[in-house]
Amino acid sequence: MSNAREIAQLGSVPSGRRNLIINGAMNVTQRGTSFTAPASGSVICDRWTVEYDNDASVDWSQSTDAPDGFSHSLKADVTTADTNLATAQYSILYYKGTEVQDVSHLLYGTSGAKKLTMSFWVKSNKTGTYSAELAFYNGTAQVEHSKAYTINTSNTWEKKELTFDANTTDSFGRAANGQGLIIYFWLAAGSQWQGSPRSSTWGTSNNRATDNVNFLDSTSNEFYITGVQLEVGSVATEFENRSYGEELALCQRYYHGSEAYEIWSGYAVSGTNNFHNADFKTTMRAIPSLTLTLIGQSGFSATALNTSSATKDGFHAYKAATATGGGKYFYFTYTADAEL
Amino acid sequence: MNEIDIISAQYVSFEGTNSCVKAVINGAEWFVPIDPANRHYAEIMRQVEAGTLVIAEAD
Repeated sequence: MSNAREIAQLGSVPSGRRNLIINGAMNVTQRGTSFTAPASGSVICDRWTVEYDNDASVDWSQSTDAPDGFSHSLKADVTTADTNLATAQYSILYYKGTEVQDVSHLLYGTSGAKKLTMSFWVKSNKTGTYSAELAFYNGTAQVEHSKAYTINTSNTWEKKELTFDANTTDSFGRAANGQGLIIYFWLAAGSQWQGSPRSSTWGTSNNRATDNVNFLDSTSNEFYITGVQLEVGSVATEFENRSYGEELALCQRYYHGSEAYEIWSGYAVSGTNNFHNADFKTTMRAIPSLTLTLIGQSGFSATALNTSSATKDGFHAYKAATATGGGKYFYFTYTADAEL
Repeated sequence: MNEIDIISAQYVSFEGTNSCVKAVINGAEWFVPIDPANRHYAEIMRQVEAGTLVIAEAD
């Protein structure tokens, strides 16, 4: 990069945190690193989900195949092909979204609305046109803005940069901690989504994936992506590297589990409930759903735990004792899900 | 384009008040708060309103 361009960029981009995306480098995988044909709606990397309706099977995994400067990517591997998509069928990699309160500075729905630029690295043997899209709910409907990009060279990491129009018409229609901007990376799209011409700006047109390749058409196909950055302005700046711990903490606002055991111990009276208070690792986006897994117990049955209340900061689990005396205990792990 | 498979749902009562919903979601048992900002609860209520899911009373 020339000095002049670098200085120009520094003068034209906001200081401080630039990337609106959490886990754009695909480093955080709290739910696992490999998923065999995950169901539609499954989170396959923190903040990233697969959504689909088609007759193919695709395995997803965190890969160490990554461009210079990155440690990981997200990999899709077609294991059963679908060469003939029905009209409405599709396959999407879906970023679960920013919170509305984290994108209020975009001034959407006003004359001061700001453009956004998304950059990312992709690699695939399946070359051709793909689609990347921003979307959000405006209080009445979901509005989208799609852009085409091309994978030019087979099996070669390529950086893509797409600038999206400012939305001066629609404002975010959900609560402050509700879903704001989301991203769709289209991998395949039936004819319903491929009308011509492609919708050129924000709207509700179905022409969202015009000319998109059918990535699902061969079991030889693989797709890799990493380094996703969404930032204010018309310039794609260098990827904003955050420490792993920082990125993990951001992800834990939406999902995390306890690695250490949560333990209640003490004097128990048979037939009475005993409560254990657990704090979450961070304040969560919303009151989370909880799974509780009993690991061991003394003076308690091996049946499941209960919880009676939770907040964004913690919960308590309880269990009725089956024996009276000191030294009784139960211990468990939990997962908390407040994903968008 | 957001799929959550809910097999069953039942209120959990604590001291006479429904405190949360115990639901089997995508094959796992979850305690779901009664909070519309929670995506599982929002989906449960969407399915209840669509007539495709009934939340059983607490035991």
